[in-house]
Amino acid sequence: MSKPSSGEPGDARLLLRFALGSAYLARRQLFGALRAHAPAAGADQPPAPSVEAPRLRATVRAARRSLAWLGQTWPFTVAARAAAERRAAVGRRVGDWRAFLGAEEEVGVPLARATLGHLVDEAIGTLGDSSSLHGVIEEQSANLGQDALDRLRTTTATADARLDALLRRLRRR
Amino acid sequence: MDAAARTPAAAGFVSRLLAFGVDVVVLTTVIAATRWFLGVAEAMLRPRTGVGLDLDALLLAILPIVIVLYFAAAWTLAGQTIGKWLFGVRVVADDGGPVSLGAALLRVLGYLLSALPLYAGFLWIVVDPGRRAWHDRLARTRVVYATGGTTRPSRDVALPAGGPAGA
Repeated sequence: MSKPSSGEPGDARLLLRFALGSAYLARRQLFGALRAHAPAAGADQPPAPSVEAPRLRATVRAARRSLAWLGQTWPFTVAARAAAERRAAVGRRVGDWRAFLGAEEEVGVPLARATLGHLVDEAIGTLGDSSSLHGVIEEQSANLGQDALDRLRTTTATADARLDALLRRLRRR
Repeated sequence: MDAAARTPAAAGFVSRLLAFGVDVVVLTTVIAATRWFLGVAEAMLRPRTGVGLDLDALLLAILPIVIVLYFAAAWTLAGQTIGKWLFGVRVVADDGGPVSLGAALLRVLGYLLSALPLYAGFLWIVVDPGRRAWHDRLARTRVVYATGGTTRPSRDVALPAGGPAGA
């Protein structure tokens, strides 16, 4: 794991910024939706912890004491010191990356917002210019109008037939 | 397929009444718009010419012409007025063909004849076996369902191909 580089952003870095910014915006949307739909506090209480037996608690205490004594012996202290140094080094690198990604995310949010807005506008513009989509919309609109007309015509034709039937019944009486 | 099966079903009273109602609305709108335009024209011309225009007299003069032209032109050119189109009915000649201009003009005049005795000529549709009004008989026309005639609910009387007797 190498240290993150700084300087003029390349394509990869711009992509990273865009991805981080988009992820941030998506996260905000998601959390907003989650908060809006979260159940009221106290709706789901966790189950009460079970009461342990006193003998089991004493056994666990003895085992912990034994492990603590073992950890103070020489081989374990040397190994523990080496592990702590490794952990510290990894921690420093992780910290560097965290700072770098945090900075990139900060720059990436406005970039993602502008880019996504532009992409959406462009997509809508492309769809709006699409003659096939126009055709589909016109066809659907025409079908809706035609369906409404057909319903109206069928209704009045049915009323014609009912009026005739009524008059026939009246004439028979 | 025999001639009776090919003949579209005759349109009933309800469809025709509603279609006529729509036509009345259309004509009223056209006449109101005409009156508005004439009013504007008069307001513009009066200061220049000093001559006033009797709008009501003018409208009274052109009203019958507008009404006759609307119905006759629509029946002759398309077989249906706006109202008839909306309710899916059309006017055809007795032989099922298009209506001639003469027949159309006669049919409009027949409206007067049907309306005079308390609209009995229109109400005749509900008692006539071929669902024909007086003006239909006068002009030798029929009003039929314009679309999907075979699927429409219709009276149990199939019209003969040459038109009902006495037409």
